[in-house]
Amino acid sequence: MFTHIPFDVPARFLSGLADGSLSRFGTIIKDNASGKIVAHVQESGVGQNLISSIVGSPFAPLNAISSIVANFQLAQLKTLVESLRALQFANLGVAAAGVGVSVVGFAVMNAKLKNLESAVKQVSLELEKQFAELYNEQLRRELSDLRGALEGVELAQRLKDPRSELNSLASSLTRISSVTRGRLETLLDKNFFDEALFTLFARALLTSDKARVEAYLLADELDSAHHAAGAIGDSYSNLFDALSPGELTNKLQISHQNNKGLFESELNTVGLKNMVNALRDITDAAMTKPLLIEDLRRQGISGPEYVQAVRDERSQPVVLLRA
Amino acid sequence: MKTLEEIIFRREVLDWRDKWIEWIPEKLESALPELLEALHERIDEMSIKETLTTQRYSAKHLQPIYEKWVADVSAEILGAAQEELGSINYKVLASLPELATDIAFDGARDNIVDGLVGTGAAGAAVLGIPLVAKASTVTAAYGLGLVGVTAISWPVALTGVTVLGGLAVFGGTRIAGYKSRAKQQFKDKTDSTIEKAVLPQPAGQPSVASELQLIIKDTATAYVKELRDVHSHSI
Repeated sequence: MFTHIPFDVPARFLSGLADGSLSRFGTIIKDNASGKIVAHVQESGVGQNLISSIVGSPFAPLNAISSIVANFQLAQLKTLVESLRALQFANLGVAAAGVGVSVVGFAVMNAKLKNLESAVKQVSLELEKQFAELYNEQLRRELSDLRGALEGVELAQRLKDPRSELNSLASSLTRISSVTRGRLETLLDKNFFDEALFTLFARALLTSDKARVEAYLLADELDSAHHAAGAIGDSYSNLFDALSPGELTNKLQISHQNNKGLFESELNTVGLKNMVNALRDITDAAMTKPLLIEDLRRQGISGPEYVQAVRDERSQPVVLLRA
Repeated sequence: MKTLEEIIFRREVLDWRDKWIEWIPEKLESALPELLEALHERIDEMSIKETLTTQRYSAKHLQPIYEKWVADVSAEILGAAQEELGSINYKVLASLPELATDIAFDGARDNIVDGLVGTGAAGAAVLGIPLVAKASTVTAAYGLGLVGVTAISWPVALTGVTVLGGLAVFGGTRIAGYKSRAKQQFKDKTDSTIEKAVLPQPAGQPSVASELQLIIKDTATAYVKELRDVHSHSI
């Protein structure tokens, strides 16, 4: 099942998690007595494909998942959800950020982006019609840039020596992430909260950030992957740490009062709490990702080797890399 | 690059912040009836003459009750928040490698940490870990004195008449009725003013709740910044 890479199954850690000798934080499992990391949680290729098939909010709690997926995938998905729950994950947000590194393949990421692009058509902030059209066009252009970069990474892997191309595309994805992050910052600065637009930008940001770390890993640039992962974690901390459900509730009320925003938000206070919790978990996962890459370096595992091993895993949706 | 401890403690501080920001309005709401009862009792002591000068009465008799309540309840809330933060302080101090050097492996390190944190907030202040601000910084400025409970409107028939002489025309029972209604009106206005002054208000209007929440937010922000410094520099 596994290559020489020291993967393990979640079951080996469950008793430790249950009796408190181990705990999970972000995507690491640590020994509580020594404080040392004992394993890194990693979704396998089959796990990430399952997550990609789920429609609905990326911030949904795990207990809401089973109702939004096709029945034929239910058994596999149930295994995935149970594994994540057993590892003390409470929501799907951490999977949106990527549990461990993303290996899902850029074609799959692109398919998800198509959904985002169709959502852009409906964006109509409180703008006059021609400005709304300009805004929509700009958003579509940015998502097209992202899709182009993802297609580029998918194609680059077929080159005889893809490293240079992958590095270049990783830089493009860094620029794209920066633009999307700017959009989120502007949105969060407003005195109203557009939940649908926020979700759209958050998804685009998570996608581009996952992709650029994966691109560096595929190029076997572990230093760059490590640095990018660290910068991503810091950026999420700067973006999301200040959010609170109460503040978002007030802003949402202003949205409703002034008819601002995409559509009537379905979020109530509980929904906003789930969203903020998911964003916290996403940030924790992003901040602990550099530790996984440090361990790859320490164990002499190359980026392409690791990505391929995780992609090749077909039976376990979640595996753990022993530290 | 951030250490694992810094990342974990950061999350604990954020969870502390989120929890207290949510709890503060609940705690204020549950303590509010006690305040309103005390104010109502004081309003019940008003004479007819005093019902004609409600703003002066508010400032002299009701505002002090309100201010003391704000000070007491704020101290209780912030004290409880500080105590919870203290447990994070302990873990932060215990995680510092500087405290592990040259110490025998018999729990002496824990003793030192206990000593540092034993005085509660003082120990944490040694390392620059911020304290939750004292309750005296929470103002009761949004209370009755400034907002002003407006005068009660007496029936038109009473205006333009010398008060004492004129009152006799209506007889004792009708006067008592007016006084009772006037006091009830004053109580209702006081209740609504106090609720707006204490509980969270829309569109960023200040309140006791928002002041306390801001203290919690500022403390958390300063704490996370301090964590960065504590973990990157030696003591």
